[in-house]
Amino acid sequence: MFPLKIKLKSLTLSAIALGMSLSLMAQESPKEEDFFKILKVPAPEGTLLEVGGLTMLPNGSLGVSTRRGDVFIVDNPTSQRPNFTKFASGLHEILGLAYHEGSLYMVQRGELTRLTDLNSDGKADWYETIASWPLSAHYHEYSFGPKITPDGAFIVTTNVAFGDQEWWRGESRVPYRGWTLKIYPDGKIEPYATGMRSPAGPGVINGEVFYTENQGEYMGSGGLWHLEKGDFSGHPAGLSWSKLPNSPIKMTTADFNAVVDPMKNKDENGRFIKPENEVDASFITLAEAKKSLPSIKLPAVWLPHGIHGISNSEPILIPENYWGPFGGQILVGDQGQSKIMRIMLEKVNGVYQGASIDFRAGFQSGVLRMVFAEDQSLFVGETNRGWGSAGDANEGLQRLVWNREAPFEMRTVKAKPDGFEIEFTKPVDKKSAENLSSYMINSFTYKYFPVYGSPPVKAMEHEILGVEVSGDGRKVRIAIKDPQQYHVHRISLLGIREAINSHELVHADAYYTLNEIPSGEKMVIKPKPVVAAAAPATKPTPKAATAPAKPAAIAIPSETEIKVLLAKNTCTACHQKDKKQVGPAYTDVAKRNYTPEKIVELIYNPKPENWPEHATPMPPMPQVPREEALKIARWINSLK
Amino acid sequence: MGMVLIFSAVSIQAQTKLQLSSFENNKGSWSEVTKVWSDPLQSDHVLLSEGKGSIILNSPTKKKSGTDIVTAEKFGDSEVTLVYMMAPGSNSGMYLQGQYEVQLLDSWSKAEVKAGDNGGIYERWDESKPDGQKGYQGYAPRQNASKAPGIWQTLKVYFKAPRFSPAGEKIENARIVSATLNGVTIHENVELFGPTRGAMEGGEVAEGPIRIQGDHGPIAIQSLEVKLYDTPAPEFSSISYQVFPGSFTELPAENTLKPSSTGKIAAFDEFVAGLTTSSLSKFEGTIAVKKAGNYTFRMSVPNNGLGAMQIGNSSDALQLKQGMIVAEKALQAGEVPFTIWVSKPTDWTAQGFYLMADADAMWQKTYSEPAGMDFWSSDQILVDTRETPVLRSFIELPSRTKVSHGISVSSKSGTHYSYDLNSNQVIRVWRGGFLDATPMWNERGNGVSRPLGAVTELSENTPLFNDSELSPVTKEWQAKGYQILGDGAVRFSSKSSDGMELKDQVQVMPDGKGIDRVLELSGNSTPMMIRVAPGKVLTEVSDNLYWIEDSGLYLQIKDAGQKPRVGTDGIFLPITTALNYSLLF
Repeated sequence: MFPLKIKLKSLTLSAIALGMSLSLMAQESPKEEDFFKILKVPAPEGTLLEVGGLTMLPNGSLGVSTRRGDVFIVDNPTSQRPNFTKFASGLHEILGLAYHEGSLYMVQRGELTRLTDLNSDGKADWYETIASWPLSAHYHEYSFGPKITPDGAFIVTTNVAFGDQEWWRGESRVPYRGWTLKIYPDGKIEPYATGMRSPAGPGVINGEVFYTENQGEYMGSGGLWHLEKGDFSGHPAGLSWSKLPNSPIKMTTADFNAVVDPMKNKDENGRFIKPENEVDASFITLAEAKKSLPSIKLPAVWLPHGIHGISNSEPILIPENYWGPFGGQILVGDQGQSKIMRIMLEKVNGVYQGASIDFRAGFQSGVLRMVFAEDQSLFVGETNRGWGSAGDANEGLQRLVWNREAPFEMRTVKAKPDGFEIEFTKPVDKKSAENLSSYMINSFTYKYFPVYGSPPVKAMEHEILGVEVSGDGRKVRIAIKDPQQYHVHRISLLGIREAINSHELVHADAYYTLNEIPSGEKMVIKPKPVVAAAAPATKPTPKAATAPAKPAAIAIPSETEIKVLLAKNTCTACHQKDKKQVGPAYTDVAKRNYTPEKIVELIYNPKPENWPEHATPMPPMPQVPREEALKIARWINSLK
Repeated sequence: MGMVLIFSAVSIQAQTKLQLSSFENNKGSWSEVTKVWSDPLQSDHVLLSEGKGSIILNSPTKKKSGTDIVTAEKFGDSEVTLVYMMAPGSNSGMYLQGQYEVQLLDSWSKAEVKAGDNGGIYERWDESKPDGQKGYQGYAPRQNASKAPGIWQTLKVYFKAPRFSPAGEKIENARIVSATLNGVTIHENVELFGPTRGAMEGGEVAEGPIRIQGDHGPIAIQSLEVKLYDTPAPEFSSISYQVFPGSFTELPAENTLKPSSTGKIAAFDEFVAGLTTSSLSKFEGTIAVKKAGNYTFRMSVPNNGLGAMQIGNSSDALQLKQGMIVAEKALQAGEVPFTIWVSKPTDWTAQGFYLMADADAMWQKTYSEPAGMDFWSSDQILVDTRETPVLRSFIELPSRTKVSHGISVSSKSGTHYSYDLNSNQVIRVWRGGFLDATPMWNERGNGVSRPLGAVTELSENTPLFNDSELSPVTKEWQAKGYQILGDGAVRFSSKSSDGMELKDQVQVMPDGKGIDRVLELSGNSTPMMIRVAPGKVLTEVSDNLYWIEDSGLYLQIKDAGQKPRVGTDGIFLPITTALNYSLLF
């Protein structure tokens, strides 16, 4: 009887908790899911859709390619009974599919292939190699694309391999690994740009080449790059081929290493030592390195690691006439966090830059590919095999549908000489918008070094000097102290309310990468409201003498407190309480019986070798304040 | 670290190599020759031969009808390795202990195999049952791993004899522990409940002869080797244990410690620590050795745990160590003491340790295995040929290098091939199951798929085109794609930088006996040589049909007047604009 009793008790408790949260929710502001629904695309039982490529056909059918090497054509894909036809099979890890001039093209590991059905039986039988490129047959040599340029060529991006002894160091063993290639219909391969490490998201947007990159060595964080011929985006492996006659980049590996220390150090046994982050060591940033290495292209938008994804994937354009306020903007998927971000781009001094903001999370597996259907819904192709993701299914094909209600969001964020201008999708409540404490802006950047990832560095708080709300309540201009060129500026608008319903923003944080500060007129700063001056008077005096708080060293943080701490320090990007995600569940960490101090040490210097069943290594997180790390550690140990 | 320990059974023991003189009951159909061959396309049940040598040949004629031959020597537990050749359409068999027949048959073109096919364990027979139900308990090989008649095949069987009580009563059935045919596992753990059809009189025995069937057609035996497994495994007994709670990195002074529990067990798998936290356990007792010999004991503790082992008396101090701990001991028959220390490093690791022993002529014995170990091996992902008849992948060569642009083509007949799209070479051919894609489709994968059947390797990065001196012609070729023409039939296209075009059609023969290859080369006027197969030992068995003995292949030339050339690195055929040949295997 005893265990049963316990069960009943906990059932009652959780029922109460559920009731409470339901009643709370009724008062909450609308969320992502109130505007964008995730629907499934029904498929015959047993169809394995580890999606690597999606494309729309002119008749509204959907082309789907998979990592297992199949190509499906799905007729009536937005209906309740789509028809799946297997058009081709047996191809090598297809990571991109495109319909172009009457044919399906796809990128396998080692070639760009066109599929043709010669005998009209509904299945491809002529697998035509448009262009083939060498591979060393390392597992990590994935290839992505094709994306079609306005002049009818194909953009393909290629992953690096990794070293044998230096397993952490990406290397380009054969031409052109770690490159973006432009391939012409006659098969000619033009090396276009290099610096790629794991370029899972090539894109052609408004006729221009873009790509997304994943965090790794030399890549402090993921990001979205605009690529012009001859650009170098940061990873040096591809420079092995800069001496080839048709390379548009002349910088050599030696030129590069003279500026960015490759940290190729050996131990006393002559074995290479894996480069690690040293908190106090001097460093340079990508922007600083660009001063000596002008081929470097800065990302248009850094997608802060752990916040806006951990393994960014395809960027696509929302057509101008789709999705109301968001038409003409860019979506970027993320594999590890199973979500989609929105990018607001602008051009300042001829350079693309802009902000990223969360858009929709909750997909069943890792988001790799996206394509719009004719009915304005978005097909989302998913896989996480071997990588792990927040969505715990291994594969999936889903559909995101907008209900045509405009969510209360930042529509655009634009750089100004003295700060930013934000346009909202709906008028804001002026009182909230004129209150300076509704705004918080801080900034940071990343180290540029051969260590896996980078903690955010050069962190700064930017005082809000003043705001100006437009007459229609749709725009706010913010002046801040010392905007930092090249930094990612986190613009946090927790206090802003919508004019009619007082709703909060669906997403309150945008991250603007300030590559260029525009010139022009600065804002006239109004004197600060009186309320602010009165504030110190109301500050309560501490009562430490009368009511001693539980010493911080022992207290286990509450559920609410820990949620904030884990989110703030981006732990939840990879960890969940009791479920393996990208990293181990906290309950599994608890089972290891580490002391809280040991856990803190492991947060600062992780040992991925302790968790060999997890594919993605944890980066060092020295930016987590020790006090917060200790709280997290004590909470983890309380899960035993 | 959760590793699965695999101990290679390295053996130095003597083997019995049987000759014709080892057998009795040869009524004249059996002889010893230096060379034997056959034309696989004739259905005449004939093996041709010459000379007098060490190959045992059964060649029955009307005058000398074939008989079964039986070894004078008798065997119990053993590993039997037979290298043999069937005549076209012929039928034979190897009876272990004269009782249990492994069928030897020309099963060349069978898409599906039964107990009566090559490598099958032949049915038992019950005369009292109605027709159609007389045969029972036959075991088909898992797949048809057979080769063509006239090609040497290798059958290896690990056999355990039945066990009898002192009163002569059978207490344990005979067993085929495992059997491989041409390198492919075709049986595992097959219990043999009784003699198969046609067994020798007298019934099951602890030791019996090997009998080779000779009354159903010709067979040649290149070698037949028997390795006995007659050494009983040492037994651990009188095991007592003590459990010391806590985490240890070196052996403690025992008098400083208090065990949390002690006890006696009959076998290591009875051990219970009584703790889930970290601990150190000590086991002591004796090992009973039945036969003097050199024994190797190996132990390891999972999850980076520590262990120590002492067999026999020694003054050497024991030390706790990670990883594999090995004790090689020459032991006399009798009893020796042992001490084993095992740590449980943390409370989340599995309890227990690995302990096994090997010796000459002994089945490997496992005494202890950790309980509840996570196997990180995954479910196998086998390629379904109906869903994926053709598969691109990396292909690993015997030298471990990888072909980056590989493709494998299946056929319904069960004969398959792999092709290198960069070099336009057929990499390998095989018969049996198609592909295991686990290496490429499990987790991230390494991009490699592996053949499941009996493989014949054809090319290891060897260039296709050669000049008249058989030196490679260097020319830059670009793959242009491939067209799927039908079941097992694909035409590959390539272009050279100087404008030559190659169309290379490779097609599994409808009966699965081999592959046909048609090469068309346009834009060329220079006679060149194409490397078609490895090997050096060439015998013309009929017009335009050559046996490549050392590669296990037949080469059939379709263009009249062409002759193969033997180079240092394989067999070559001429091409200027076209070439048409087949490989049978």
